[in-house]
Amino acid sequence: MLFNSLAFFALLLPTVALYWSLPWQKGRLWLLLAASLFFYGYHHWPSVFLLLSTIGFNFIAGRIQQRRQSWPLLWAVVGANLSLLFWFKYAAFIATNVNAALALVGVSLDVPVPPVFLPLGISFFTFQVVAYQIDVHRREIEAEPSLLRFAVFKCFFPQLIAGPIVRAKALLPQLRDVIRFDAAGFHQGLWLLLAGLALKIGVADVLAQFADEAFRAPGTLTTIGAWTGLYAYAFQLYADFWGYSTMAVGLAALFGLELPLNFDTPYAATSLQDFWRRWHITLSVWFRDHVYIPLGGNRHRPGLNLVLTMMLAGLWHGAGWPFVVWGLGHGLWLALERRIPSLPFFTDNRAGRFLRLVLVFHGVCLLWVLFRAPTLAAAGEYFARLLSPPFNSSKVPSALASWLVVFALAQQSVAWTLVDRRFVKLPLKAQWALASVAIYLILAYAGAKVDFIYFNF
Amino acid sequence: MKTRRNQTIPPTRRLLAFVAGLALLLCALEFLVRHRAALFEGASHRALAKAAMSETHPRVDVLFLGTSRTQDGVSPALVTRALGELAPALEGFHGYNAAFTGSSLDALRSIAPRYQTRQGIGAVIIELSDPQISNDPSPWEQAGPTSVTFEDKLARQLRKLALIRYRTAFLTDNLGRLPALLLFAPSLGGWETRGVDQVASWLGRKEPAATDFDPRLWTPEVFTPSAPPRKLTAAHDIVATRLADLARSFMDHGIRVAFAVPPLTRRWQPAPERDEMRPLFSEVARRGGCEVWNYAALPLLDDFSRDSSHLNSRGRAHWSRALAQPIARLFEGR
Repeated sequence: MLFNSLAFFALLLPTVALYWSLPWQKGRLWLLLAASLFFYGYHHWPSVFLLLSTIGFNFIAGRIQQRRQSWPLLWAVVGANLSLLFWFKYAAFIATNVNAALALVGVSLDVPVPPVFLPLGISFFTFQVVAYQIDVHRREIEAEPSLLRFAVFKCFFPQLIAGPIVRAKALLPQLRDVIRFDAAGFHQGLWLLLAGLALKIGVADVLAQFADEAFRAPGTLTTIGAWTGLYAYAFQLYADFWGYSTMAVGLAALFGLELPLNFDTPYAATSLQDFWRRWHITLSVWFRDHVYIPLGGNRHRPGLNLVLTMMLAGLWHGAGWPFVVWGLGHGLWLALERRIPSLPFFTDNRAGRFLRLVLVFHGVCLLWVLFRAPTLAAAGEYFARLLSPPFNSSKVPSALASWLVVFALAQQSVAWTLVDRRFVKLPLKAQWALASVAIYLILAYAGAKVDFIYFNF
Repeated sequence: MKTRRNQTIPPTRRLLAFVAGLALLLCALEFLVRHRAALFEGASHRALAKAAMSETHPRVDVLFLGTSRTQDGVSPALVTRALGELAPALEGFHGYNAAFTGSSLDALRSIAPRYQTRQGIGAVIIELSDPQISNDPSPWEQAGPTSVTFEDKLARQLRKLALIRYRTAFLTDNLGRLPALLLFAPSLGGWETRGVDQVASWLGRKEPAATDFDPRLWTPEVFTPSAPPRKLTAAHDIVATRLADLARSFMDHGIRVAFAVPPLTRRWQPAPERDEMRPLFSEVARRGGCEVWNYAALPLLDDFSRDSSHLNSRGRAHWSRALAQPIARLFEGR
């Protein structure tokens, strides 16, 4: 169920009302579980059984791990979780590539290609339980003794489909305590929900039209058209996922729970490392803790570890070569940045920082081409229009130009209101003004109902 | 200072004040939109805007429907001025250009009843062109989801709110129509899409007539109802029937109908209107029982147009003058 659908809000309002009217914690948890399963199964109910079986499996595995602290068990459990992800997300990709590779050497084996079916959110909830199993094994957390709490942790609907990837140590303790109504938290949650929805509907979906148009036929674009199309995609992706994550945090707040924010004005980063500290923060932390550091981290071959980690991050985003090359590009850039932390001509004054910001933003944008293009050939075609002659221009649609400028200028201020309950601390008039802008964007631009981009990952 | 005062209010009261304020704002907006529903409905789509603006004119004798080709190409004031010169009995007639960018067959069929029920319209000239028959239906004319999912039912309930029903009026592009709807509408002929032209018309500027008009250059190819039957492609066969139905629906209300194919530049070769669409014109005339005036066949000079299919102000003056001739014939044939 989409967060920007009417059906979702029809489910949400009675759930919130019922949740706060229930006097006992267990009843609330059961309600959250039921709502989450309904939310998950709304479009494809058989997927609920997959979710329930991974909950049961990981609950039991966690309990055994707690007693035995066994490496083989950890490998087996992590392997089992990843094999599910592997089957649903990568089996077709691998089979296709194996067939292609064999055909190149003249062998016709015809490895059967399984039908592509990706259960919603599998990449997210798999990573969440893998982290849980590792944390239990490391004794960073106790295995959850209550199946109900574990199930709510695993399938709490605001974060089930597209994150944030919430660690057990952040969410489970909140589920153990009796949750009391906190008006300020609820108030901030309402704003997060409104702001996130406005970002999705009023910014991402509007920019999507321009980005889709640009990537539909890159060969026909002028240089200016290609760049503006790329800017549109860069901000569409940002507004889309930032909006979703913000809504997720806001929704959790309506139930008195706190989730981590996933974005911190990433396009204001002045280095790629800085960018990854601000973009999809919970995923970056996951890869740092569970891939980069186990590979050796900063201690042993950090450059290679970065490249491998980012290639895996690319593959996590999608089973396709463009994603792998996108990850490789980020990995190489991060490794290079590590070797040359600051170039001498970038002084650390305001102008130098701005220049770095512009360069990092454009570098990230160029790599987004690989993220968006369906194939490497299509990405190559788009790169050709961006970077090679003839350098020609065309009129930039005024709607696109104004939308990009307004969003680029406003994002910092919007982000400011999303943290530390700052919105609640604003004067009421300012709150009403901001909320009115959000409602205006939702009201006027709702209808396109484009899926959240990160649902695909 | 204000923030500090704000913080002294208990959180529950702040939350309630925030929610109540928003609810009040939404109620006020709902009241406003409900109260001025016609205005907001008009702003929500260019076709509806044209219809709403035409209703501010006390009298419309000749109506033009079509796409941007007709919208840019016809000045109703010039047409009716020429009508008065050609036939004194038609002096004082008023016209309105209700054509709009992106018009489609579905859009025409949806908007037609609004004009058919209006008193006084004597003739309607409907554009017949490739875009007019091939454009996608715009969101406005899709009556709503036909499936009966939970989501659709909710959407239908929500549409009972005027704020939701006319919410597309709030799109930034559509908000720009409000000044025209509120202020300029009675003085506009319908071809003025730019703000400067709207203001100029409002201030009383009259479009200059074509001074060097040569009727021999602007004589259209005419398809009459007596044309012999022609074999059409399956797609064109459907279009011909729909256009004929549309023509008859106007005639049923006592309105004369003719189809006009807008001029194209000579450079555009081959243009569908010059080549493969001619059998369709013939069939539309035959099935609809009305004439089709094909101006696309004219060897038009480039300085009449701003691009291959849209006339500039000089082209508008000339085509408006040219249209007066067959329109006069249409009225005289009563």
